[in-house]
Amino acid sequence: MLISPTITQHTVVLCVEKRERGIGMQTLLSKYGFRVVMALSLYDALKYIAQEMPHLVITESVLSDGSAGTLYDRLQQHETLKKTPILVSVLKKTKEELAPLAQRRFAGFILGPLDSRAFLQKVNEVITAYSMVSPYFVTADQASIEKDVTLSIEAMAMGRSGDQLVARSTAEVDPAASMLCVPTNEGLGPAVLRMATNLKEGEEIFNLFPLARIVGAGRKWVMNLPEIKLGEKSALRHKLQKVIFYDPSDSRFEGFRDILKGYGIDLLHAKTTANAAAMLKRDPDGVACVYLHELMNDASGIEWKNVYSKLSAAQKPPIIVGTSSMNSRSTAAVRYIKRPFGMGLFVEMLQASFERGGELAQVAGKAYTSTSQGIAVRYQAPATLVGIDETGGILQVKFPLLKGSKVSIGHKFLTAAWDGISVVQVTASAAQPGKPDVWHARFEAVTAGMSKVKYWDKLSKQLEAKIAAEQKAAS
Amino acid sequence: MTASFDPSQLSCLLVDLAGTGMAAQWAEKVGPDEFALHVKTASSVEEAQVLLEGGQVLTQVIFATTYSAEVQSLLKTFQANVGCIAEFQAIVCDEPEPPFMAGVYEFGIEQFFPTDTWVADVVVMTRDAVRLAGDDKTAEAKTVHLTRTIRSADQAAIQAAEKNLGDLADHDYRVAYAKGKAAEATGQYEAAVTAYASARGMNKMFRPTAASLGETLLVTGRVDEALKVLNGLERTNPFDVERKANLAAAYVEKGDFEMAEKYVSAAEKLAPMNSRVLEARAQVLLCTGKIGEAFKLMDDMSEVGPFFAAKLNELGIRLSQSGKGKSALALYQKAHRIVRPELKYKITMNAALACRRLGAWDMALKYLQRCEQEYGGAFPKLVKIREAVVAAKAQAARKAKPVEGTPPKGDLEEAG
Repeated sequence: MLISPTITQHTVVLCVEKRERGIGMQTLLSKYGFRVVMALSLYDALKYIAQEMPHLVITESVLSDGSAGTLYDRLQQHETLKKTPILVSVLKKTKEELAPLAQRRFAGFILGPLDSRAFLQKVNEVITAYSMVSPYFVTADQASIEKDVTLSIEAMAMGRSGDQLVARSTAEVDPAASMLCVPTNEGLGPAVLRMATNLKEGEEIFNLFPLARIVGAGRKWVMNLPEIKLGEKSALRHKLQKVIFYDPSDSRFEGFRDILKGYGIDLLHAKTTANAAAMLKRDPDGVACVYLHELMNDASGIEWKNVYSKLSAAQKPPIIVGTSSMNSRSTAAVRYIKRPFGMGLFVEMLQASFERGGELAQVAGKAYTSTSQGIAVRYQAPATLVGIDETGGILQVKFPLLKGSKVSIGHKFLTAAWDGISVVQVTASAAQPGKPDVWHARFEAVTAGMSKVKYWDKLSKQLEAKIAAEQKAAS
Repeated sequence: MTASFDPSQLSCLLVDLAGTGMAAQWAEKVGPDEFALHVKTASSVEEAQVLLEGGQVLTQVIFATTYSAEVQSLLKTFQANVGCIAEFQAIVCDEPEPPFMAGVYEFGIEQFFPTDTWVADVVVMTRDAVRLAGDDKTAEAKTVHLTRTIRSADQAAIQAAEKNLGDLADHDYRVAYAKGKAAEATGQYEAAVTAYASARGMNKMFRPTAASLGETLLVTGRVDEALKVLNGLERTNPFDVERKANLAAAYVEKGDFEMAEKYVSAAEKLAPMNSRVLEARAQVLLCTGKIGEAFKLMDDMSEVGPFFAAKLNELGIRLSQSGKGKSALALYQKAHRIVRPELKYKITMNAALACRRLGAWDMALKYLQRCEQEYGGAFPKLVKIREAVVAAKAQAARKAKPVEGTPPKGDLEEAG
């Protein structure tokens, strides 16, 4: 199975005799997303490799206190670290430099002084061949562990605000996610939740789901949840619903204006992002939301960001940004809507944007401080455990998981290995090229709480013990 | 009775209205193992409609750049033959204009696929559709099954399929909508109103329920309520032709011919040959006494819904009761050709009653037989009429020929 290459940040230990020779390589690798740890001696290199479990070691052939050959031999003696690919930089084809390379199976060589293009090409080639995910990565099949897991997020369904179900949870939920909302009270039925909007206020995370999209037996209790009464300011905003609408096309603006008027949404046209920024600067309090057809990474985009960043938190209206990229992920700060989009989706996204996290937090603080208020639920979705490695592993899901989300994975072996804790932290996710419903998410076992080597050794031993027990049982 | 489907018998329909040629490239881009359904392509509405009406289509993808009468026809045909499941349909268009978005949203459709990723998007959509339709417990499978049953017009089967929905209609707006359609098909318009109102309560954004609620309220004579619903919809999409036609019909019912004319003219400007617009115009003509002109318009109508069908039945009954039996029969003949399949049996039954008034016993019995076939079996009213016709025929054979226009004793009530 091809695992999305972009979800893993590779760690490289760079071992050079003189710092100045390493700076160029370090800068180049960092620029391309690698995490680089520089060692100036064989001694340091071995220390860092043991700490970091890098996905690649790049070493000069001759080091101040040894050579690439010694480094190779030392790693080969280590049961875990011997998998680490080593790329050797040979500055000159002298006997002194070439001798340590004989009889050893290095992953590759770079000859001569640094040539950025050739260097990067070689690094990527070695990473792809040896450690696309990690040199230590083992698939669930290889590890003989359960592949089917259930992702879950703990939440508290608080009530209804406008046409939204409001829940407080431990994680932001991607708008593309479709999750089953299962109350912990077994007497209540489950409901399918879609099209999440996330609001953040300090440490509080609120997930909003449009009531209209909720289906399933759980609709009954959802509709019986109390109405969350927000302040006057919020009521006023709901009434006004003024939206700065940046779209370069006049006809598209006019079409949207005529239609959205019927939904009680008043569009103010900004022909450019600069116009939108000026309009927002002029009257930030009179705007419920801003829609940007696109947000370019050019001067106009920078100007927009400047204006927006200068507003106080209370004045900042939510921003909805149109995008054609699959990998633009909505967060509480910016909500992306993938173009082309449908009318209902857009209207509901606008309506959700009229809610404010601060106000919900205030109400939540007053009325929902104890767990007796609201209904305790779990958002659940099926996932497949692709495999595990020295920091966590890779999950396959049907929708994106947001970076930083803490989710629980119901996996018997891993939960036991993690001393009963099943929460992991998502560090990245990306779609498989050409497969919009196949997403890979990298997670870290946040509760491992120890060095990578210790964690991996512990996990490896448990895996071996499990396999042995199974073999024994089978025989 | 099972609601699930065998995917090997189903297809994904690609309709290239934009003339992009993209649909034809499908085979180059997708291997046979990657796709669970057969792929059928069409480049015209007529071609696509034949496939849709064949009952083998599960998903539909339309290549179009603007909203047009063709797009609307396709979406209507899909809705009538597969079901009102927006998730099973998509439009391939990079930058749809708002009236296009609003137009397809009238059918609940929100999926627009860009031209550079449409293949992958269709694969995903169809994979999900196959999974959902393949499980007879899902709302989607039950909806498709019920819609197909409604198409068959077999009243007993419709009722059975409706029962099979279980309590899903209580918490899934699409199922509640399908339940409303089943109630409409079996002539239970009040129940249809309840079902649509329930669906609307669950998802007020889902426009097909509101549109159907407005139409059904009109059928049940609750014109003011219908106007409220239809006007609400008109505010959020002023580009919909059929709603303008419905508004015209509602204003005709109110006796406000000026407003009716305003809406019907506006609709005619947008789509003069739309069947629903023709219905509205014909209704205006009928109500203003221009029956001949109305008759002419009926030649271009199709899939006439319950409201205009009821109007035609009313007119037929009036003609029959006033002794113009032959005119009534001519009207019924025309009406039978243009109404939706599930409404045909009522027209046929009224034709049988008109024949009975005419003393054309054999013809009445033939109509009754057709009515039984269309209904999917005998029902009490039909049995009663048949008994009366048979008795009258026997009596007539014993006595002299009956005089035209003098109905036998114990007259029976027509279906409205």
